[in-house]
Amino acid sequence: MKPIWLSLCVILLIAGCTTTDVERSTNAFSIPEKIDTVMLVQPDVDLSLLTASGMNEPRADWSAQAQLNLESGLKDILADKTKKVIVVDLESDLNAEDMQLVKLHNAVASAIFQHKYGAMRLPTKKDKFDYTLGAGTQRLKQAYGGADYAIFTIATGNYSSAGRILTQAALIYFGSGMQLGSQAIMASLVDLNSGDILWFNVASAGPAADMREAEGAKNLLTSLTKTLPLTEETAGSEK
Amino acid sequence: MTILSAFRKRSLFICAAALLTSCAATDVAQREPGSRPENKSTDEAGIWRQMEKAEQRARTSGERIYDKKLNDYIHNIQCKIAPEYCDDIRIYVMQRPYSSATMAPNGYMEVWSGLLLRSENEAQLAFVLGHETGHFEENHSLEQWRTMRNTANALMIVSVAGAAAGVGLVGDLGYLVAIASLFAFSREKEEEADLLGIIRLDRAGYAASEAAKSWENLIAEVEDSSFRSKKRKIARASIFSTHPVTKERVRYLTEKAKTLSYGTKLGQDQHIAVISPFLENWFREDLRLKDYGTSLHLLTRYEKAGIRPGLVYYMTGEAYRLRREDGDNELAIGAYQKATKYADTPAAAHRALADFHVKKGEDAAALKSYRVYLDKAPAAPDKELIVHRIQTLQRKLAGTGS
Repeated sequence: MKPIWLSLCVILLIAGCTTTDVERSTNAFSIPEKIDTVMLVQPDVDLSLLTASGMNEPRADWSAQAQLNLESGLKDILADKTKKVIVVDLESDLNAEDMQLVKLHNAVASAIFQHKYGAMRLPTKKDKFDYTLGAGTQRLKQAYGGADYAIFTIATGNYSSAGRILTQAALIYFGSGMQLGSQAIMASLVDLNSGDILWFNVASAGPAADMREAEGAKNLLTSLTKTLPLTEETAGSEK
Repeated sequence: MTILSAFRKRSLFICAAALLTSCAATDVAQREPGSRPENKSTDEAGIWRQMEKAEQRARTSGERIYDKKLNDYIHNIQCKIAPEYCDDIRIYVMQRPYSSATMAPNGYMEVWSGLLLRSENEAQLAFVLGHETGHFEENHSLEQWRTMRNTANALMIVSVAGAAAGVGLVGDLGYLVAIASLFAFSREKEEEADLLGIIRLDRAGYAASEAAKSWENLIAEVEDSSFRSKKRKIARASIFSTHPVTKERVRYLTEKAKTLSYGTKLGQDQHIAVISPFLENWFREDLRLKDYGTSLHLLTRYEKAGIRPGLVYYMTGEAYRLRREDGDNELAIGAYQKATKYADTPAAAHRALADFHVKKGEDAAALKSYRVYLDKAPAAPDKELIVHRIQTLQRKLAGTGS
């Protein structure tokens, strides 16, 4: 899991408004107009307090609250085109074998960060996005109501303490500086039949997108899922 | 000159302020059984949550050993050692060829196969579990975290002061002193856990002398290591080492054991009986680390104790075969030959011997050993290969008329 946090932190260097950077699978795929079931893996959230001295103190309350906000926000977003959303609790619902697929997803997401978003872009992946978890994901489809798609989200980041903001002001006065807190969220859409990652996006939170608040989480998710195939309007779609 | 002395005065003042901050209280009270952090905004709750996530990864890890008998055995020892925390501590046995056990502040403990392989008896294993319980009951993780935080604050004050003085990061010396004090705290905690562990060991009825023994065994094993850097590490004492120098640990544990005479149990038979089914697998994993010095040391210890000689001689042969130093081939053959005298030696011992016979041109002996191998392992995955080799040897022998 560690490589994901490190990679995600690279994205945190983007400040300002919520910015996103989307990738779509270059393998041909099509999404039906109405979807039966989507497996929504409970958002994996890690938020911490960035102290003046640069230590990240993990905050259980912020992480838990943000997780709830993101989960309900995602359910709302999916409600339009999806008949049923099954939320899968990372801690209690998954057995060891299913958990390996979640770990695999995280490993693949890590690779995507490195080779599509990071500095180590692979020349063979330049015009391609064909990452997959493999057809082993069918066991998730069977276990979770025959869902055809799964959505994974991982959010991480920190919020500066008051002390840090003051210290930042002091340092600026003396001609130096330090990084203030930032948060990012990544989401992926997985086809549970083939295991292909159909869509992948990373969003860096702007000032109005504090996921600890319900409203902020909604704003963040709106930016994040703007291009999500499951929610895109298609010509002649019915409500 | 005057500017320099002004700066020196100011930095002394700042260092003092920094040190005072770092002395902010970090001692946490002893843990109450069954307690959890209630207030979710505390640093303790944050750490607890991180540990829960780590525990979930361990629980679903591909390296986990699920065998019920093994898990129950360790769990029972833990509850004997620390009955009040019996429900608070969850143990996960992991297939990892290093001698280690780890304890997280939320009660999640890992015991690694390398430790089980190296423990001679139940008492030695029980001491390690008691040591980890010591960390748990004294909330060492939380104390260490708070120390780090205070130290980081102190360092930051020094570096901000440095920026203010226009000298950039002036904290080099301050940094080194702070790091050293950080590690010293850590050594104190290890010693505290050692002493708590040995007291629990004695109270649970185990022989307290076994605590020092497990460290003595480790020292002796590492002294035989094929890697020089490994040998140096265990003995090196510096202000940066996190663990008290191992010989120092043996000393104070031996001293302490003299005052504890209640417990007498060793529990060797029970321990060997429980780990016996895993020995072949664990020795094989140990060989993968390629430290043949320590592998052979461990195998010799098992040989002297007379445990599973058929398996131990085979693994000894494997160690020599893989090490490939001058004269090792002969040593390997000798070990395999000893192994094949035992009915319970792995079938692969016969094949290994046969392979060496082929290398030396001793075709008749090779043929005999390959046949014994197939006899003992009729469903071997390399059956076709061995059958082919047997046929080739038969043809060769028929051709030369022997």
